[in-house]
Amino acid sequence: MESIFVNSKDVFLDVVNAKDYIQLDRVSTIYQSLKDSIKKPLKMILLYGKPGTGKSMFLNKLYKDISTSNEIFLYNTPILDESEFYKTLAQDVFGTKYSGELNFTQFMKIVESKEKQSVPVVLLDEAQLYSEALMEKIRLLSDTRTIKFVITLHKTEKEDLIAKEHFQTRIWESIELENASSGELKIYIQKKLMKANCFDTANMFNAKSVNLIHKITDGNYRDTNKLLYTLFELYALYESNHQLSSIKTDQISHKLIEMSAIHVGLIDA
Amino acid sequence: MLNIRELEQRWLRYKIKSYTPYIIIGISILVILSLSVILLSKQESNSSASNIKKVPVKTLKEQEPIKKIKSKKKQETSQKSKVSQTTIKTNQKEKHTHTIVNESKQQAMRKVQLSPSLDFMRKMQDSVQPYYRNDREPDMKENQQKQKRYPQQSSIPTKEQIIKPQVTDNTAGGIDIQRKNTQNDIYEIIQRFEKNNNPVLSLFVAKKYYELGEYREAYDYALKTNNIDKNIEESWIIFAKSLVKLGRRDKAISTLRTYVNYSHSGNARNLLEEIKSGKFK
Repeated sequence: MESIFVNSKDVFLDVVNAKDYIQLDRVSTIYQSLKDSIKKPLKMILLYGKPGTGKSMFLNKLYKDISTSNEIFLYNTPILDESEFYKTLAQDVFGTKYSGELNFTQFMKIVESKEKQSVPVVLLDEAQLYSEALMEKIRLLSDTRTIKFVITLHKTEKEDLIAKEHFQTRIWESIELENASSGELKIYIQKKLMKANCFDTANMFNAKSVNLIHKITDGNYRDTNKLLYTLFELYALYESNHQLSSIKTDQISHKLIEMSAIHVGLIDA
Repeated sequence: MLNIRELEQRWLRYKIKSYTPYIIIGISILVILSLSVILLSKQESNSSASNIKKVPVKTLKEQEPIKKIKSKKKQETSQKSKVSQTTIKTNQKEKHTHTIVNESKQQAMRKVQLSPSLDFMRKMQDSVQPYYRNDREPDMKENQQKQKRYPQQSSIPTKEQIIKPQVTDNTAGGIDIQRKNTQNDIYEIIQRFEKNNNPVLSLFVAKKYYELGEYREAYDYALKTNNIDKNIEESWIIFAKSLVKLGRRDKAISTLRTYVNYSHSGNARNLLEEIKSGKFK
């Protein structure tokens, strides 16, 4: 039988998987509003927030939930080449294979030639990586109302500028995702562990230990996942070295939390 | 792969680093506190030093009455100098007091007029009140004969009770040097006695003179006391003792006998026996 710590460790692998999505009150409200926005005749929806606030998870969840009812396409990694971008969209959305270079004009001709009953939804993750020129084309495409774009952006100064200059007037909905509060983080950790049947380790998290984790990660989901992964790796190591007696097992050891934070670089020591 | 040992060492370093500001703050608070305590104690010692400096001024106040008495009675001042000389021989403490008296005399010559401190006398008078009598009778012997009733002796204050007010308790107000200036005390009391004829004062003077070996003076003041109040046992005892010391043993015996017959005083009887047997010389 595998150790509970090894199982718990695997829970916090940094993998974007819609089935691992944790329902939190505030997040589920945001998610619902995003879902409702999809149904509205919006040109573009902007999803922004700091890295690790769950934007990618949001897109994945959205894709999984509405893919059965809507025509929806998800691009987790940006397609940086403009021609490649048009060709991918032409093939996926409009079912037109195109060999050779495809420019915006040619792509627009394909879009106009293919009449769709419902507006297809294209989800673009990490949109800050797209060039300004391509972002301008995406804007023009959304203006035609033939494709609805949901894009995610990292919230930095530069990316704010992009959002303002190119999309401010065209965005009908902009949703900001924030880091979790201490209470939300506790629910997130415990729900995640309980979802994987790790009830014992879920019970080890009390308010104090979660507060310490929150202090270290600032409620960032990605950092929390990284920290907890290392934490349970440490627990598993102590267990295999028969050194568990030297640390707390009834609750999460603050020493191990800090050691994990040092290892992942969240604490400078 | 995680290296637990290395991680633990790094964690330990991190903990020490994170506690360092608190340790520094704690140490600095301790240093500030100890410095302030040292400064405070220095201030206190300075203030106590200034208290000590004030003492000579106080003695000058005490000396002032002497000056006045000196001018009034030349005889008494000559006696005073005699007394001071004998005191030097008998008591070391007194000796020290006199040196200070001499010093302060010189200072007093230079200083402007200072008012005397009457605290001591006020206390004396308070303790004296119950025994004060106005009935003055000139002749001691006549009084002895006329007297039929004997007053209670227990109400007469003991030596300690009379002297006690001299030592004031000044524990609250920093350092206060207490000085036994017997000569000054005597002259102050004489002065007071001359004003109000209080027998307790004359008895005190008699006792003091007796202690200082001035038996003639002791005899005089005991006689004065007896003249004012013939019922003070201590006064009669001092009177008799002084007579013995002055070589008038027979008179002392006869006087004591008369007093014992009249008062049935145990102490007087004991003294009479001692004089008779030659124990008391």
